[in-house]
Formats: sequence, C-alpha cells, structure tokens
Amino acid sequence: MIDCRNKSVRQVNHLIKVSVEDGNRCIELLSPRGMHNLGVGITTDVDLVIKGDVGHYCVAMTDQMTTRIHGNAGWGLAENMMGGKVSVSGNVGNAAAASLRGGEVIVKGNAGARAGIAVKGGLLIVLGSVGYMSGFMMQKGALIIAGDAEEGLGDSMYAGAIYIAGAVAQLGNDAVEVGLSDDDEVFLETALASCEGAWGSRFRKVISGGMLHTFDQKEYAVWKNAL
Amino acid sequence: MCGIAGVWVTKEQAEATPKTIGESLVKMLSVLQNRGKDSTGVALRVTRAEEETIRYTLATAADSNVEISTTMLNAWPSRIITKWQGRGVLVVECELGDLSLEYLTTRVGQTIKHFGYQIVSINRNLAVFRSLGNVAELLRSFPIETLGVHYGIGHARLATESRVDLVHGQPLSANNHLDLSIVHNGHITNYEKLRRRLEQRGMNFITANDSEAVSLYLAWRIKEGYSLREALEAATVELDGSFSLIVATSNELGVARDKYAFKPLVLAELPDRFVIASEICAISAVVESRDPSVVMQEPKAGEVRVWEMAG
Repeated sequence: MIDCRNKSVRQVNHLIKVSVEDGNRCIELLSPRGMHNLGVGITTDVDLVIKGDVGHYCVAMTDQMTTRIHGNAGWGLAENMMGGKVSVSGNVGNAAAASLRGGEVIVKGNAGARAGIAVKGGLLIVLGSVGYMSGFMMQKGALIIAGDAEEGLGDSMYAGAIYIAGAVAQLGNDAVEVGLSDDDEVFLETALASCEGAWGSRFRKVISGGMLHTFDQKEYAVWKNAL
Repeated sequence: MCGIAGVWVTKEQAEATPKTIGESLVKMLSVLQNRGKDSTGVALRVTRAEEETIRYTLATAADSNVEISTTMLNAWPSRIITKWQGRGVLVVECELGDLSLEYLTTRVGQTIKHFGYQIVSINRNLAVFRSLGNVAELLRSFPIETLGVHYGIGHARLATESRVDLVHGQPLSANNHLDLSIVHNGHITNYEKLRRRLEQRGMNFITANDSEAVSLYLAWRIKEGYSLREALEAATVELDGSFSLIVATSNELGVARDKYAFKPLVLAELPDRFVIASEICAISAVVESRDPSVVMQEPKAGEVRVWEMAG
C-alpha cells in the first residue's frame, strides 16, 4: 500500500517498482489526487489498485499488469499499453488508450475526445459516450462504445473495428457502417460478458471504407477532406 | 501551456462559507503552477461596494516600487476608497462622483501614464489581481483568500509568444469594457486577422498577447447585444486554434472549449458548486475525489457552459 500524499510522481513510481521487485502481487495506491504518469512502464503481471482520481498518462507503456482505478482519469490513459487490463470506474479525458497495442481497457463512464486514437491492437470498451474524433487513424484491434459518439467517429481509420450502440453524431472520413456478422455477435458477447447490461443486439459496426488506402485521382475530394 | 481555474458556488454556500472562492483558487493555482509560473493572476467577484465606485487594475511593464505608486496615488483624480499595492500592480477602488466613467478613465490614464503604468482592467463587480511569479508572490501583495464571493477565475501563465510582464499577464480584460475578464489556455492562430477586424470596429488592444483577442472579441460581441453564452458560442466558431477559456462577467461565469478539444479542461459538478481546472490534480486540491456526489468530466469539444447569478 502506497500513500501518494506528500510524495512526488518519481517517488511513487519508484515505490511501485521496488514493491514489484520485492515480489508483491497486489499494490494499492491511495490518494493519488490527480497525479500524472502513475505506474508507467511496469511490465510485470501484478495487480495495481488505485483509489482516487489520476492525472495524465496513467499506466502508459505497461504490459501484463491488471489495473483498477476507482475514480476518474485524465488524458492518455494506458497510452501505448502492450497488454494487460485496465478498468476505470469514472470518466476519462482525451486520448484514452491512444496507440494501444494489446490488452483491454474498460471505461465505465464517458471518454473525452480522440478515444482510441491510433489503436494498433487490443480492445477499448467505453460503457458511456465518447468525444470528438474517436478511433481516429485506428490500425487494428477494436473499440466498443455502449453510448453515443461525437463527430468524426473512425476518421481515416486503416483497419480494425468500432462497435457502437448509441447515436453517432457524424462518421469520420472514409468510415462506413456495416451490419454485424455472427462472428461479431460472438465477439461482442464475449467482450462484454464481464460488463453489466445486455448490449449485444443494439450494436452497429464501423469499419474503414478502404478508400484512403491507395490514392485515386477520382477520389480527390475525399483526400482533400481527410485530415 | 498555461493553467486555468474557476470556481462557482451557490448563493447559500457563498453565504455560509464566504472565503471559499479565494481559498479554492489559491489552492488550485498552487497545483496548476506545474503548468507555468511566469505570472499568476485572479479575477474575483467581490461584494459590491457603494454605488458609483469603480475598481481599476493598473500594471506596469517596467520595474516599479512603492514610492512610485504612492506618488501616483497622491495624484489620483477622484477619492480613493480602498487600494491594494503590489509590485508593479495596483488595484484602486475609487469614487466616480459627478464624473462620467469615460472621463474618469481618461484622467486616470493620463495620471498614471507618466509613471509608466496603464489600466489593464476596469470593474465594478470584479477585482483583478496579477503578479509575476507564482501564487505565493500574488498572496504577498493581495488578500485574495478573503476577497472573493460567489465565483472567481485564476491563471498560471507559461508565456509562449508574448512578453513576460504584468501588462501581458492574465486574467485579461477588455479595454474600457466593465466587468469582463478571461483566463485562456491555448493559442489563437487567426490572431492577426482577428486583431485587424476588431481594431476596425473600435476595439483597442493594449498587449501583444493573443489571448487579448479573445477578451476583446467577447467584449465586442457583448457590446453588439450578444449574451455571454451567444458570444462564447460565436467564439468557438470564429476563433481558430486551441483554447480552453473561463470568463467572468459582472454576474456570470462562462466556459468554452475549442471545437477540437485541443486543450485540457475538467469540470467537477457538486451539489453546491462547480469547480473547473486544466487538470484533475487542481480539482483534487479542493474537492474530495471519492465523494460520490462529485461528477467529474471534460466538457465536450466546442462546448459552452454559462452560470448566471440569481437576482
């Protein structure tokens, strides 16, 4: 158990590392009070429980770790995470799970703008709504959004899939809505098994239209609009 | 990268705990200092004094001392009710008397010009304080913790493009426009165009700070008859670049975010108050994060919120 009060980020992260090296399987952080960069770079299979709100880049660049945040999180939650599991009980700021490589990030509340930007693998689940340009330039993996999405959902995505149950204010450039296959249904059911509520049947799927993959003079208008 | 903060409490809460605003802003700014400490400032809603009193905030870009400011105050063109003297910044509450606001302002301007000072804010309901350096410097000269009622805004500056001096500090007001102060985190990219457009419409820029284009834009829109909400909504369309803004007027507090959500902003809603800041850590300085009645989240891209004081 580590109390973050009156400690610097460096001190707290050092204590986490020492604790991991000592063989502790479960580490608890108390009173983080919005501290940035907590638990970054840990690549060991341990449980991290954070009681309180965290700041930017919480558990970024981690692998194998299971993190539970009882509170809200700031920008860049689990950025570039390679694997493991993160769950947040509250809301999160911009760029949640940016460049996610693997593992699973579950946000119980809402996520800000650019949730799941440049995701390269793994799964981001947002049980609330997501902000502007979510799933921007996504390359692999999946986003599941149980609430609504603001403008620009899936803009310029290369590959991967976005499943959304709520309203989409506007799809992004070259993002297209398609029906769910049987495989998708199974995937959603499995992915949402641990989440409360029956979402399954209401989801739609958003994927890349493939138009931006290769440049075609005839599609110049689409290219011009793409950011 | 600047840090901005704002607090709004209900009337009941304001009466029950009169020091909340100043104390909260000081605590939040101390944390937000991680985003910049070139200069610090606050604009507070204060208890309204007598009718026909005006509160000027004066600042100088040059070095100043108490002797200079005392000489300047001796030559003040109307009766001074209260004054707060800081290094390079003075806040003077004075009587308007039989004079028109325009005339008094011109006279004040003439009097202080000689000493290298200029008027940076004119208020009736707000009080604007600035200081170079961190919040401790601000508290050394001004009794911030005891002054605010109902709402206030604060700023911790990291200067990126314009000069670090007390004239360029924030909160920024609009020249000759009573009771309008903004704190801005971001960068206005159509500044030159906007400045030309506003100057053609008679708005007077006193700094080279791009944030001043925001306050003057809002002042111009309000002068045109827009409400604060309408002015902020127009700003999210007409201002380019990145901005998270908090605005205080004589009876309102407004928040706006650019349409791309480029700059951070977090809003915590409690039953008795709203707390706004650039980062969660600043909110955690004044709000018990595990309190279940707290809803904390980022305003949406392009979102505008305005709270108006009842009565």
